[in-house]
Amino acid sequence: MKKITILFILLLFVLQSKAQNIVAVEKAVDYWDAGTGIPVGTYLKDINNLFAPYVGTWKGTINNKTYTFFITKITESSNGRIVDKLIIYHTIFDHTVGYIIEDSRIGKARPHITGRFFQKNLAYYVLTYIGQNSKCGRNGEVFIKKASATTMLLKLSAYGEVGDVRRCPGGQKEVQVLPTESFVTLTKQ
Amino acid sequence: MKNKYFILVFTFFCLLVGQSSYSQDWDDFDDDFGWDDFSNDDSGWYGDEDFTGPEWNGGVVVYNDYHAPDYSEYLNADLYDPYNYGYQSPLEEDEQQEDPPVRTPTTPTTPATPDPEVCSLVVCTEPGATVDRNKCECVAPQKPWYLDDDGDDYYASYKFASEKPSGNYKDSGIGLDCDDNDASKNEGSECGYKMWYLDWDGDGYHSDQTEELNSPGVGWILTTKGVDCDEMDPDKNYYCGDKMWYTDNDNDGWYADLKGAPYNPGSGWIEYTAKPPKGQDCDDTKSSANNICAPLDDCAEIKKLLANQKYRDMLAKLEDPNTLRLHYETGYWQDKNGNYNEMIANGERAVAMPDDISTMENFNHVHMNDWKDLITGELHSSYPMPSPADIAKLYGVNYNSRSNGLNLSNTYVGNTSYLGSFQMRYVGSPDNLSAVNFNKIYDTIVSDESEAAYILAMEQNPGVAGLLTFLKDALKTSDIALYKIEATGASKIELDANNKIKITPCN
Repeated sequence: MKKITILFILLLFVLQSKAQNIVAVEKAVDYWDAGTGIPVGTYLKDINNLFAPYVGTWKGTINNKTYTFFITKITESSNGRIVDKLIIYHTIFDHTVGYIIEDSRIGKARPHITGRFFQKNLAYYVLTYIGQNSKCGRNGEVFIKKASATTMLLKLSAYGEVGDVRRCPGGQKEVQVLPTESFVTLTKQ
Repeated sequence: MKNKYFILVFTFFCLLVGQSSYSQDWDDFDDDFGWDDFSNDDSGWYGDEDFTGPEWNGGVVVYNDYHAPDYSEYLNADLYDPYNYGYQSPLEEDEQQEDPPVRTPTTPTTPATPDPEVCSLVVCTEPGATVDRNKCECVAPQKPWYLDDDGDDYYASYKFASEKPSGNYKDSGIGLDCDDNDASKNEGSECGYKMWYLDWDGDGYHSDQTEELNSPGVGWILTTKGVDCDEMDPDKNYYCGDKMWYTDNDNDGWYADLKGAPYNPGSGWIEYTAKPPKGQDCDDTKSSANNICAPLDDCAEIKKLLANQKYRDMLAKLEDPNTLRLHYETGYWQDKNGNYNEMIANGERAVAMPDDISTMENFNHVHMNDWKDLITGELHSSYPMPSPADIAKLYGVNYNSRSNGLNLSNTYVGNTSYLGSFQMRYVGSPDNLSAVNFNKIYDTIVSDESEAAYILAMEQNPGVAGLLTFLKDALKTSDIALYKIEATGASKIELDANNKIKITPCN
């Protein structure tokens, strides 16, 4: 009886130990490369505090537009996976027209820019962009990169995928409002 | 007696060791993560709970981390490897030797009284909160507050503030209110405006329309059968030329063919006004009062395609490794005459649809491989499986084929990536392709919420399972069948009752 009890306790211990698998968040790209996705029971955790330098408010101007990005670290839990990631709320002030042309903080407030993974060499953190009226082409990947302790670079690689252009304003694909040709240099506020 | 004490002590020891083996920062979170959900998971690859899309608020713990070590020099890995030739950053070298240590951050605290010495260590735990160095205290973040005087959840204005301003401010709003003093008037109710139709001759067809709060006057009605071609003659409405005639071989009230002629074109033609049909028949060889057609035999149709050299040549071009290595999508759309027409990218990475799709029966396109910009080092990635926009287009091509009398059995959306070639085919009810339902479904599929749910599903599984999970749990649809296309034949891929992948080869 004593042996059975001990075995039972050991079994409980083993099962408990296997309940989760903590993996460094910079390994997320490996799951992407393998094409397998994140296994159930995995916690992609920012154990090396890679996100810390990005968290905060960043501001910069390019192409007559002033960008303000509010970057936060979140821990997201879904379908048995837990993932640390960065999310970005933002505003874009267009000096040509004199008002904010995209603001992810109002209305059905939601982050338009959501973290995916660090590249293997940690050069860039890659995020998904689902902009305002994304079905008309404002979608793609955002790359961010620390340039110094107080500056950061950001650029959009646009997918430009459109559901049905006839249903878009003026029957036209939306023009990208994030910088696509070159990086905007952002300064920490 | 001693044995009992031994077991008791050993049990305590095991539980203690077992608990600590989590290496988990329990201070960071409680059970909001739903560990209970997936620790009970026996499906092997995802939990049984409903897929609810990204949980931006619920189930998410957010905290600032201002005082974490600065790894920024490692992040500038281009300093070590500007062209990504494989030189490892110091961090990567460390990782090869030993896994990074699991850190257990201490619970941040705020000092009770301002103290310049301690204040420099203040960490604010509330999301978005900032440190007021003068007062040495945390300042709550500002968030938008929406003024809603009539309580219909639409707002008149908004302002940013840390605390709820006085007045009828709420922490969320659906959209701008056109009248914040009347709860019945907002964007959802078209601000009380209705569409009015002018029907002078009283035949139910209209010659003019306007959006007004109240009836513009005599002859204006709220519903219409369509545009009137002769507003002064109640016998002439939808058609003012020759009489309209239609055929209905299975006599179910749904027409197969429709044309105008001054006299009966021949045997089998029925005069339109004498017995108006219900609409176009999906299969005029089988009578169906509700126009429900037997599902097409997709496997048989794919088999026909694979026997067609033009199709095989087209597919071979898409599956060519050089095509998959391009930095933009390519594809072909097929017209009703069987011609494959090239599709090119729309100036960015996605492929563009032709301006006129009235003769389009299907299209096949590539989701290219990931690629790295050798100059900047950016890794550009694409989701290998069909996107929400592709799914919406599947409804679109089916709606188009049905509206324009094209071949429904040849109507599908094809997708080729490093995972192979796939076809999505519509197997849902024709009712979902009525104009009203189609518009509703289309808007749901390409909504921002749906896109976000798709991205989350792809993060968890970028392959077939991710797509099928998205269809089932996020879109909650069974309208779409997925087939893997290979030179040797096709297979239907679906989720079984236990959410496991089920592959059924076509015979």
